[in-house]
Amino acid sequence: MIRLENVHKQFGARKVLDGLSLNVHEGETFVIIGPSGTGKSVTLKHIVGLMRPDAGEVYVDNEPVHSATPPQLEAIRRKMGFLFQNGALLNSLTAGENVALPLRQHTDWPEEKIQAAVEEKLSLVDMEGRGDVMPSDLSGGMRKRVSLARAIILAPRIVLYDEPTSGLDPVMSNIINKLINSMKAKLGITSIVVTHDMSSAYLIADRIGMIYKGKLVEAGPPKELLKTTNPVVRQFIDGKTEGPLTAEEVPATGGGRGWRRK
Amino acid sequence: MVAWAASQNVLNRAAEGVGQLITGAAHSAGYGVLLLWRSLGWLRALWKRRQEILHQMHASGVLSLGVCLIVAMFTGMILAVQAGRELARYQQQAIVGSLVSVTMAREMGPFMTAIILAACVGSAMAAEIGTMRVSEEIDALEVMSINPVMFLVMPRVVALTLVCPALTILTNVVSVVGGAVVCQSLLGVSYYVYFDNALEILELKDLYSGLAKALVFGMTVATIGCTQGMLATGGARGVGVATRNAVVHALLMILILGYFMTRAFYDVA
Repeated sequence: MIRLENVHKQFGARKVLDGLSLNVHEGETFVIIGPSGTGKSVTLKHIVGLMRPDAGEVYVDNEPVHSATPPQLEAIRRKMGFLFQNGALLNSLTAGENVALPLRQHTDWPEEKIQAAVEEKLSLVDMEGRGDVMPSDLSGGMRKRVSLARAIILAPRIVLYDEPTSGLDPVMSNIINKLINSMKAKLGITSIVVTHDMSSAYLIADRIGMIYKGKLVEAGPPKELLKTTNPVVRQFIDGKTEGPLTAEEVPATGGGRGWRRK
Repeated sequence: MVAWAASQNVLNRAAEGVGQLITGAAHSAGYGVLLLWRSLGWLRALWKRRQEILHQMHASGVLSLGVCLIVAMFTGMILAVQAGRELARYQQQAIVGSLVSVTMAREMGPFMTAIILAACVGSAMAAEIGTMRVSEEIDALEVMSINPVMFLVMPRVVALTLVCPALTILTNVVSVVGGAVVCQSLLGVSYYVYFDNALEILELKDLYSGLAKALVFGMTVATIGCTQGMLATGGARGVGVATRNAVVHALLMILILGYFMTRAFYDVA
């Protein structure tokens, strides 16, 4: 359903993606892990067309994103929702207006129908009755949940999540994880999740792929990944400080502990 | 030898700095023209975005009105004091009204209004859009297939293009009234004589050339503010740079465009 073929991206002298190829199947939740600055968020931005590759190809539903014209890109993006790391809610609008925004821009629905849809999505993310609150008055977790409601308001078939649990307490992280799983179960959404949080990855992933130095170094179901002998992946999921990764590249939580929690 | 290498190094860095300045300015100017062109293309969404346009007109017009009127009043009074002092030496203080009205209508009215809008509104546009850019709100709009030019830029450009001439008219009127107060109280010129002279000398061309300038200045200030906001990078510092650039670039463009428009309306040949 989503395919990246030999994608290269460079910012100045820094090579971020160096021949990245990956394939995400319809209906699966694919979790991308990897050290900071290795190109995970950049990968998402290529899929949604916010960035164009220097070389290589990106396809969504067999439609080329890398060479799409603005109208084609608009059509491709209508299939997708995107949860930004900090929520990216429009601060001048209330939470409800943020969620209603795609409907107001892309449909001719009457106001009552829009309000009903907004309330439905807000209740799906446990935010019912909070539509009148400004984003600045919401906590980080609430902003993410409102952003998630906005991402799914047009019933997309694909949702991309950029660090959905970063900066959240463990309880809020679990609420977000359950939301991702419930949306997959209820709406059959294909998801790509970028995260550092290994416990979260094990809870939601059908497959986990690790990006390192701009390449996908390993991908597979969580159980297979736990048995990996690749030293880079091994060190990352165990959260060990000794190994090929530098201290800054290793996540705070080890994979084994998260796996046992599930 | 070491001194020679060091001076070469300094020269290289200076040349590199100048080069970056020129390419940066060219990029910013090119992007600004493109942004204006695209916002004009989005005029088809005028009705759909009418609420936002009215909101922007309120934010830029009504909230700048007080500053504009105070500056206008005192500018008219200063003009009257300075001109009246000199003209009184030749017993010609009666024509101060003509001088104030022509100066304000042709040049000072649109110029002052645009400068106030650049400082109050253009900077705010750059800061607001810049903050949206660095906090990924503009990316979020794009992902939702909402064109940021249609959603953010066009309403601001339209609003300021309409507000600047409207404020200019008020600025002109208030400054002429300010001049009248000074003339009557300090120079002994009656209100009747002052306003008679002020209105008699004005030609239609003085009014429309001034309003045309105001229209262009309004469009320029909004375009530059939005351009700098859209090009902002690097967090709070980037937003600060964008805000400062928006004011500086707008002031320069107001002066440059003002000169060429004056030349176009009042050929000196």
